[in-house]
Amino acid sequence: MTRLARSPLWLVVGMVLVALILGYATLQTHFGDLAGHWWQAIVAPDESRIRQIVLHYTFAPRLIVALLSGAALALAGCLMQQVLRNPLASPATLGVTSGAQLALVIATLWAPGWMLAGREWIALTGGIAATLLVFALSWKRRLAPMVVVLSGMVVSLYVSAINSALLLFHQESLSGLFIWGSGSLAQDNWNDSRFLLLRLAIVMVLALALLRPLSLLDLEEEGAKSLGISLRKLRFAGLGLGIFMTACVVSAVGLIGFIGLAAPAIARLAGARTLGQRLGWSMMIGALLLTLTDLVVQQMTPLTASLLPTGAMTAALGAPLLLWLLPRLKLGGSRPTPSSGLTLPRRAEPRRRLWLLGAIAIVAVLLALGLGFAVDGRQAQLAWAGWHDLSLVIDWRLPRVGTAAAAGLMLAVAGTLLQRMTGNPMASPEVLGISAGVAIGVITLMLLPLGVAPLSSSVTGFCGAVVALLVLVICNRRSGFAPERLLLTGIAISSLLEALRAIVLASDDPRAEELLAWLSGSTYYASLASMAWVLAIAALLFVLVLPLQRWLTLLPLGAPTAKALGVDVDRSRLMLLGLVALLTVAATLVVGPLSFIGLLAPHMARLMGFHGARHQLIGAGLLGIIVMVAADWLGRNLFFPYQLPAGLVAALIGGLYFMWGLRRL
Amino acid sequence: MPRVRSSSPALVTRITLLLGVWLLLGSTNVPAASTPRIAAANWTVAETLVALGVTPYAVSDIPNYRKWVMEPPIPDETIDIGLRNQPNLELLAQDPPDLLLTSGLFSRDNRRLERMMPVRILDNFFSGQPFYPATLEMTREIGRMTGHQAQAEALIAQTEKVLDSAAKRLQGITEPVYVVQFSDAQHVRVFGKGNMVGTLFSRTALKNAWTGPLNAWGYAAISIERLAERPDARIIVIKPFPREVDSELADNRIWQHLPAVREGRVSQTDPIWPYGGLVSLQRLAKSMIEVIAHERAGVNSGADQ
Repeated sequence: MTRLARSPLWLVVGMVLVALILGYATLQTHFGDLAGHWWQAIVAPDESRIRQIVLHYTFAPRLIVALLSGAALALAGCLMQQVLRNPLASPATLGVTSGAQLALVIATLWAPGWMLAGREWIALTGGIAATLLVFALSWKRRLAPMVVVLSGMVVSLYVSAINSALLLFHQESLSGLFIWGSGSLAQDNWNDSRFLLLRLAIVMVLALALLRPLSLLDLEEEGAKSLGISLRKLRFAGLGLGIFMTACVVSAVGLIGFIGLAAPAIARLAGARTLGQRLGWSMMIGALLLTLTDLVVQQMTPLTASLLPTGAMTAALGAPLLLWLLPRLKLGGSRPTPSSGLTLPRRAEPRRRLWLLGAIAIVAVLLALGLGFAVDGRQAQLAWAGWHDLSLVIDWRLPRVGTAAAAGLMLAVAGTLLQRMTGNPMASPEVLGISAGVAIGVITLMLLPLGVAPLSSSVTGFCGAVVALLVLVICNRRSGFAPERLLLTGIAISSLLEALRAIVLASDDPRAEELLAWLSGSTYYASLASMAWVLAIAALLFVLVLPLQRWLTLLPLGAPTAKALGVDVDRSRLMLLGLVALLTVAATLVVGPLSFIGLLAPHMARLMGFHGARHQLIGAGLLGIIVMVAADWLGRNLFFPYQLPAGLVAALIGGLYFMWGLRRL
Repeated sequence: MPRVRSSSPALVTRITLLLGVWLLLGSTNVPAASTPRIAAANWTVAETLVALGVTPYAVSDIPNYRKWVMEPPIPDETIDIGLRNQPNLELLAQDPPDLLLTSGLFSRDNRRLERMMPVRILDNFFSGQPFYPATLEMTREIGRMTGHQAQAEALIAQTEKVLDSAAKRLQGITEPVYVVQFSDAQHVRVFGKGNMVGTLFSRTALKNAWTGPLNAWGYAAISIERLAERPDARIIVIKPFPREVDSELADNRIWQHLPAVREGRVSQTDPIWPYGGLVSLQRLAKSMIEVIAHERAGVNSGADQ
């Protein structure tokens, strides 16, 4: 009796019932005219009746594809979790789905012929590449669960930044890719169903063959080894199956978020124990989860003039789920090791280095102002601005350079504050999801009326930042702000933004382009006046932060020590968090949510030997200015007259740095 | 300059700007004063300018214009100023045109742009008027601005003639029409009231088969099975096909089974910019006449539902 109560059976039965009701409702709303002929239409439609054909080729295969994709992703997630012994592993959190997607987008744009040869193989290549990257990043930490997932989600975000850059240049022709990229399950034949069924069956058979050895992984590693299993081959096979399954799903229906994470987690929480049970139940739960989401989406479709992508919907649901799961999971290997950054040798004269950095910053600003494309009739080439170009420089280059510099400064300072407060070398407003919070706030506002009103967007942006900070605190208080958990919370918030973005882009609304441009963080709209404001705000906040160096020196020593030395820990943390929120809002409104400057600058500053709080703040600020100004210049001139947003360029630079930093976390 | 809102940048910048302009004007030879040099960030305006015989100084995103708008072709002398929503400011500033025409959708901060040249938002959407009157007004306005009033009136008269002849040729057509553009093999934008397709429906006897909700640009993004909601409908596909859509349609069972497809009531037009101006409208009307009236006799006998 008790065993029955602890099995997921009732959950599955309940989900089946809801699915049946929703399915009936969907049939009733979309195919009410065929009532009584539903089954016949599914099995053997009357070829002369279009309504039966539609039912036969859309509703029925869509249902099957939803069930199959959900089950396949759950299977993949289950395998990955078992092989990596990591309850947070899944196709989405390992970066497999986005890697596969990027490979398909690249193939579509530059080698459409390959798409005919076999989409799943292209997707597989991308998925494997992403996974290898994730492993390379987390190898040093012996694939510790949190580090693997963190790397995976960073790779996902990075890949989607590359995707954004591609999309900016193919706006009109890629609206179809938006739809596919956000996981639309719409079907028009049985090909996808057959495709998925065959591959799922093969993978299932192979997984069953591996079931016994794989379940021995539950034993400690030594135990499994003593039973004579080649662990390496086993892991390789299990993981390979998971990635292949994911690649098949991505190539058939696009990005479906988080089913692979959620289904095994729910199965486990509902009481599935052995690997066999977990596989079986999570496949059922995954199938039903995706189907339920899709049925709800289908119910909502007739109400709007835009498309609702199922995959992005599940991703939007998955992010809160991840946040909810995090405090509930016991994860091994997440003890922070002492950060290597703190053990670097102290440089004798940070002051001289600061002067040097300052000089470099000035040179960077001058270069960015002076060097640009000069128009000569119909031609344009890179040239130095002469004196007669003064108005061009002051009116059109200076605002962008100044704004980029201010944003870089603010993000760098915010990052330094966060890294010092949390004692976590990988913390930053972008990584902790505070920038994403700002962006979510602004999108919410933007979707209500037409266009962006600057004042109100800064207010909603601020609210978004505060909410993100609250979520961070609530989710991490119990774990004592363990570094990887904190980062993972932040990345989960960022992935919620990613899902929202996909939904907006797939809606096929012309405003989506504007949103894409803003989210990518362009300094395009900077004017002299707005630059003056941003610079003034940056300077003011910087001046406010500088005297706090005592707190910033003592807080990294830990709360008890800081308290003993006379710091009011709670009050100081609150004030610092408030400052971080203000800095992030001001910077994010200008350069978008994903620049990684807040991570990169403080980190680099420490590598350069700025250990004192004051020196690190100034050094990071200068570095932030240098990188952001350089990113802005590259964005303006790389594809002249077409322009890439500074935030996007900075993210492409900073993301690489972040991954490199992860390797040594 | 009564129409141009005066902005108030810092005095210093204004002086430097004037200085810069004076120096620039000193160095470049001023073109003939009769037609102003106009930059168009909006493809609809670019289309209209070229149609009136004005060679625009600059147009946004010309490669994509060639793919999506096609006609009339942008002259070779016209320079590219980058993305439509972000015309390259440094480029414009170095040799400012006499006027920048843009759309309300693409510009959210015109005061800055007005410091280098007069900027006007000229749009046939979001003007508070229905599409066709708004487009006529836009055309006349462009004519006034460029001193090509006669050509503008001629273009309008020509469009009226095309619409009248469309009304005549399409008389008595009973089957409704879906006008669509493909997003991917499963999704289309279906057009209705609020753009040039709506104008055609109101000016001719044609009936729109799509009666569902539409967005502000007068289309809805739907999956193609909904094109079966009116089995008797004819489908007109506006090209271009994105990516591989035309080859994927061969595998698309729904598409292949749509009554319109089975019974040969599907036709394709050349690429037409459905959010465009009078030239695009004429091209759309002519395509409609060509594809509907042309096959009409054959279809009327075969259609039964």
